[in-house]
Amino acid sequence: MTRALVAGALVAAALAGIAVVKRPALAQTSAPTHAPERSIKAAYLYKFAGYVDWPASRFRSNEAPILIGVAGDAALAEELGRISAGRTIAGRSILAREINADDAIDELEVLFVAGPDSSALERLLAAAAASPEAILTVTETERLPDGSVINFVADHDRVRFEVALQAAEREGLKLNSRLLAVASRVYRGPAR
Amino acid sequence: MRTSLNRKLIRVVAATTAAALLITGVAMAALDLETARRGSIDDLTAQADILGLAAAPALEFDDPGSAEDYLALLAAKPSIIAAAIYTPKGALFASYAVPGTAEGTLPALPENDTLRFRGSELSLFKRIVANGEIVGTVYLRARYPLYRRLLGYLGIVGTVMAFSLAAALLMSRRLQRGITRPILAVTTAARDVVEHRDFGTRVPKTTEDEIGVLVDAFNGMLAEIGARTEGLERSNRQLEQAEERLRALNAELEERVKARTAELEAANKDLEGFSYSVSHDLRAPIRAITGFCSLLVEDHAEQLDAEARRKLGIVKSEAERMGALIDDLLSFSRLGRKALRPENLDMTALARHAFERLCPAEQAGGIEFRLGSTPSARGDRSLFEQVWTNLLANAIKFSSKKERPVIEVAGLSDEREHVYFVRDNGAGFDPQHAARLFGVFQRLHHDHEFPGTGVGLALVHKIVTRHGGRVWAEGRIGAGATFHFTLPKEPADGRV
Repeated sequence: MTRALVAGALVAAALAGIAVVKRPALAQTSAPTHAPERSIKAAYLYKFAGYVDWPASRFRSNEAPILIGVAGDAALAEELGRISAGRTIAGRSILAREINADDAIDELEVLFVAGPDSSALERLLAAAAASPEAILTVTETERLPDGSVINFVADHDRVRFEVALQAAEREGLKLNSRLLAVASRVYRGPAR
Repeated sequence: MRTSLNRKLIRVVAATTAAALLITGVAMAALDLETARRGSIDDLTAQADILGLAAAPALEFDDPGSAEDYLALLAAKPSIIAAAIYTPKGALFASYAVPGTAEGTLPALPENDTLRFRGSELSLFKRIVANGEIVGTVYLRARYPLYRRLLGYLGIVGTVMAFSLAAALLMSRRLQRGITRPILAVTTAARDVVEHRDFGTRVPKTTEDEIGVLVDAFNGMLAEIGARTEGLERSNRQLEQAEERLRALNAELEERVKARTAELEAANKDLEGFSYSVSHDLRAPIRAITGFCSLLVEDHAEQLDAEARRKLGIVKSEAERMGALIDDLLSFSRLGRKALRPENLDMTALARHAFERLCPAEQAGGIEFRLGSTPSARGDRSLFEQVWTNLLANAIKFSSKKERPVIEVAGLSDEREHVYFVRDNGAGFDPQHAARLFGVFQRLHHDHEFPGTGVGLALVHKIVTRHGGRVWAEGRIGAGATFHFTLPKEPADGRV
């Protein structure tokens, strides 16, 4: 009996250790202090907007800006604000905003929830799903959460992303096939 | 028939067609090459643009694999031998090369939008712009077989040219016959005329153009020449006939002249005989008369009284006068028939001798004889002795009554003739009758004033004119007379 417990504990520890060993990338994303990765993700956030079609009714006018909300990573929000300053996507300027878990998100065209799976994340995703507006939800969790359209993944040193078509469809977004071409993985059905 | 005219026409056609084709060919080749060049550039640029747009997300989201997938699609266009995509920072992002071409020939760094032709390749760099930003650079390198294309085109042009030229020459040979045939007809006719002198040849007129005009003109000329030749031949014949007649006439005249000459010679002979017999036969009775008169006076002096003797004297002197007249007449007539024997005469000596003969020194009788220089001339010696004798005798006779008779003789020469004169200061004569001076038997004075037969001056006149000279006299009554005569420098003797 003791031997089984010890073996079990050892296996659990090993698993935990592997999990720990496996985590380093996510560990970096969960505490996104790695500068280049942050810049890349910030850049990707506004670049995504170039390959996504919102419904025609989404924007008030042709000049209406694209609002990108960033939750849980003030530095990234700031970075995003900086690099998107003079840029346009499809002629629209880009506005970056920091979001808290309970803020209204209806105005956002893009919503990025930083960090690993958490209740805040679930809440935000639910809010986005519930919102009648089409919102491009972007996450950076280990596994693509339900309700997220794009999820950043790590591929060795490179930042890649997965795409959930069903979620996009539910949101009412049309994703450019060229975007899908560069995605590391495209989920047509449910992610799990 | 291949003549130089035909060859010339063909050469004209060949040269002009070749020139036209060459210009056209070259122009079209140039146009084609330019179009191809444009086309290649446009094509490659479009390709680069498309690639750029396709690869933009790969660049943006850092997915080289996807970019290489796109580049691999270029295999469908074998003319593209290499392609590459560069990041905005200049790093090589993705590449493609046709297997076989050296992959290391991809440029290390991209350049700004450029297009370059090198050898038989065309390469370009094109920047990829998305949303107003440069997201990368596309590099494409394609095969651009300029020379092969050029040669191919020139080959086609050359072949087409050769065929066109052949066709043009063939057609021209057909068509130019219409031009050269009538010209050759004229040429043949011309040659014919020259060889056979047949002006009846005519060229048939087959066209209404300038050659037809030429043919008409040619035929007209032939007709004209034919008519002219005929006319010339006719006048030639007429001339020949006239010549014949002339010759016949000449011969006739010759005959007549011969006959006349014979007649004249016969007449002369008769005259000669006549004058000889006249002189001879006439002189005899005269001699008898004068002789017997003298005898009478001598032998019967006591039977004759003074009056009888006087009458006999008259008879004798008249008979003598008759004799002198006869002699003079004889000389005069002989003179006309005598042939001249010209020699160089010393006129001064002749004049002197004549005077000395007429007036021997002892009988000079106070006549002052001034003999000046006289030019020598050519003439008959005996005849001019007569001339000087007659003139001086005249001068002596007519100045004998003067107290101090002066006779001058001199002469000079000008360009054409010698002029001589004999001047006396005797009785002179009435210049109104000057013309009668030189007539035969013309006397301006009575015989009892100045004896003479009246033939002397006529003789002088005849002799001088026979030598081609002139005689004239000046004088006034009581104031003497001057007799001039000239002799040409080139004596015009020979007149028979």
